Amino acid sequence: MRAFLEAIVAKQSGWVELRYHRRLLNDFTVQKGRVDVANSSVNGGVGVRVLEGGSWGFASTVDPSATAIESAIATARANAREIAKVQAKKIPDLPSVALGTGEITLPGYDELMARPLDEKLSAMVDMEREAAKRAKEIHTAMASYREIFEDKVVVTSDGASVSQKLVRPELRLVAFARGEGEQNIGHTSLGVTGGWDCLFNHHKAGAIIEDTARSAVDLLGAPHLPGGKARVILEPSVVGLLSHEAIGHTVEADFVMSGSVAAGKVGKRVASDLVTLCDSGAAEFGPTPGGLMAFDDEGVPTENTVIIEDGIFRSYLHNRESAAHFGVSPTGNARAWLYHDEPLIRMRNTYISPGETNFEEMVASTEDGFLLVGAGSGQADATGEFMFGTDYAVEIKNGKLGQKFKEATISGVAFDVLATVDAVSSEFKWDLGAGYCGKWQPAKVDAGGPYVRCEITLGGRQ
Amino acid sequence: MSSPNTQAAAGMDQAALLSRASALLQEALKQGADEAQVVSRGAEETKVRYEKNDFTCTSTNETLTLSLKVYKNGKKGTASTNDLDEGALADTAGRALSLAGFSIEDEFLKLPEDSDITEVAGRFDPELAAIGTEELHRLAADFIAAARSDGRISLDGAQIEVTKYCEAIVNSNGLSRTDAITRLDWTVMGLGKTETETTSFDYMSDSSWSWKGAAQKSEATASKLVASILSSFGPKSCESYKGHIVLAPAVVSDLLISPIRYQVSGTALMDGKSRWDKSLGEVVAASSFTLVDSAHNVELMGATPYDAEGVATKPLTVIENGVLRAHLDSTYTASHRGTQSTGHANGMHTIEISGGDATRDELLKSADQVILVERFSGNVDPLTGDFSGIAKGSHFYKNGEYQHALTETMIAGNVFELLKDIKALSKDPKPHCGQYVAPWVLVDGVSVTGA
Repeated sequence: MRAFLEAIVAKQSGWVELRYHRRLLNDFTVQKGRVDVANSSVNGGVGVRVLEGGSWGFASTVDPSATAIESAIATARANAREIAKVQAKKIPDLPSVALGTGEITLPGYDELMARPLDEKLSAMVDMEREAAKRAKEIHTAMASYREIFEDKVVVTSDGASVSQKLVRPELRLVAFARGEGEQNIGHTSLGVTGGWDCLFNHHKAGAIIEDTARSAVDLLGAPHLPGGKARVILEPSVVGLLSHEAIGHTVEADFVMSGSVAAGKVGKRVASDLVTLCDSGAAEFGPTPGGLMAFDDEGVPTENTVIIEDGIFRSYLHNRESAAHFGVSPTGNARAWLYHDEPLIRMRNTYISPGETNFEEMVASTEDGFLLVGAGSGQADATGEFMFGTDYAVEIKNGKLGQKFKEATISGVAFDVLATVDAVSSEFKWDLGAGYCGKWQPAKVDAGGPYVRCEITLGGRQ
Repeated sequence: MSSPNTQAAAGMDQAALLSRASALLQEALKQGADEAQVVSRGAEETKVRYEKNDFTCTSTNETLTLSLKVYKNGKKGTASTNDLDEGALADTAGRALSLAGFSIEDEFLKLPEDSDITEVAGRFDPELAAIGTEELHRLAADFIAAARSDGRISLDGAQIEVTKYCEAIVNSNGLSRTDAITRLDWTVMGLGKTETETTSFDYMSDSSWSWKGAAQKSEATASKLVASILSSFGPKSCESYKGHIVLAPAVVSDLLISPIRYQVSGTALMDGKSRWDKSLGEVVAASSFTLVDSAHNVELMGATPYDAEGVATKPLTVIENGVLRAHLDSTYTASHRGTQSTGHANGMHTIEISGGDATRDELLKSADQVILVERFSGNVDPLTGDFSGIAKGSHFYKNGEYQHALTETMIAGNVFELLKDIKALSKDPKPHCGQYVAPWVLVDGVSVTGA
């Protein structure tokens, strides 16, 4: 496919990018002993992007033949000419940068492709059955597995020519428990870039079942969290969500150019000096995060981008266009969800680097506060104001963990919260690999970090 | 009018879609399926994107999907493809049957029979289908100009998109459907910015089946965004309290709808997860609250003659004067529960919540202190009804008088308690996101946490 696309690009004038993308997605959902989903889908095509006369044009085709691709190139050129009539500023030619060449298959792809589908479904049947009978309060369990095989080829007229294959398996286990007049959900979600064994690296199947069932039952009868400002310890998945939602989105260069709160921050102190926050295409501190990739969808090799170093702001996240605008190198953050999506600036694996305190010391030195556990969904604002849910909170009194509370939604202003960080643990964990980020189109991302202590607003009951 | 886009539209011929769906159905039966269903969908879209306060890209895309469901020996498997090769049909049928082969037997698997459907006209506009990129750019330019009509507005992003969409559904019971629609969708997201202040972002979106009137409708969306952003300068926090808030129509949709959808869905009912499984005919909300799925109301973008498996839809009153009137079923959940499909294989199609007697201003004056919540950024648990999140773009009123815009204010409570604690609804329901119509709603018992 690479040589085929190179031959088409060679016949074109100007800057042209061709991206072939074929996705194989297999998924299973087992609930109450029945198979709700046993599905296999194939979705592929070619996305074409041109930069012509200072304007972008994009088109795509489901048909990967030379004729259809050349027709899509013509449509993309027509789109570029048309948008030029309403566009205020022309986009300068993209400067020459180091672009990837060659072919890579990330670990796990071949192993997971070879593993029979019936084994994967069988594992879900077993997990659902075991979770359902783990406690008398659990009336329903659900186990789901999804694997996304990505085959991508990116060829550009200025030298990128890469083929990348990777697979991202995900697992979700949910237990529904019923108590007196109330129901509660316990869940565990895992996602990696890698094979079957990688998926179960953090937890073994037995531990996943136990944790899920216990979290469903333990919160029955738990009180709601009181609202207000509090000192909290965020566990790694919540630190990952904070890094992604509250900081990561505001430092995407396109968002910066639109006026986000991170504009003009490079070189300035924005956080406690305990905070080093990064976004990486590689596996830092822990193996196989869910946003792992060797090249982005512009063919730029990925790197570990240091956004905040010891509290000082260092870098935004870039694609080729924004890097040229800011006069820096691209960071490998251009990503497209499917063949018919244009590459946008997206995060990969976002994290806070581990520190030197350990978790037990952190709890012991907290007089009054909460441990916040389990990342939910969240949103952030251009102002840096963010909100996200966590699964539950555990009260900390005089250095000891105590009662659990449910419904722990938190909010704050990103850089203000990071300025209050007074402890960062040495433990590290990727823990959002089952997550999807939304920005006009989805993206598979991961996030994580150590335990972090800071001050935050809890949105509980009055 | 310029010529329409000339790129090959692989998925846009209804006859071709039906033919390909039928071919896949026959292939599945040939390979040994006892029963099968194929849904074939094709779309051609052109969208204009605006980011960083300038137009950034125009794209034209085609998509095509063939989705197969097979039952064999009481077991289910599904597979889909967008591969145009002839061998793709045999491969897709083989994958679905292979999955069914090691699935678990389920006595309730069933496909719908053919039945009469009511045509829902007005969802395909030949003029919109023929719109070229030049007209689309002109519309987009006017839309953006309206959204930037005040120098304090900075636009993070906007998109305007025209889609021509068609589908065919066939099954081994002889059911055969084809449908085609056009739609124009627009979205804009922005914030207010001065030398000293940046507001929260806000976004608005709307849709139309047709080209006629789209310019006025999209400019109205832009003007609404501008007014909302300008009203959010100078925000302050408020004291924490538990009491009244007024939900704007957008928040009614964001906050109340997903728990209601969940509780009346056949899936939740058959698994014992719904608190309303034995509540038909019982009071679940205040007597002023009525919610209807108006599946044939073409004023709303979810209007459709049939559901995702081809079963005829009909208008359905779900909650009437606070009393639960209907549960929603697909063919499968109906088979499981011993009922009939209500044409809801893909959930509710449109949602209309009736208005009350008061004006919006009267709602805001009916409590000592009240927050008008314009947008909710948070989490709602559809199972328990618990919600918690930030009241975005919201405003604080005291003794009926406007005080100030709000920042860093969180609200929390329980949707099922709120439904019963509705104090009043405004008499002028407004559409939201093309698919919902809801009034402003005054509720009590909400925890408000200021900074």
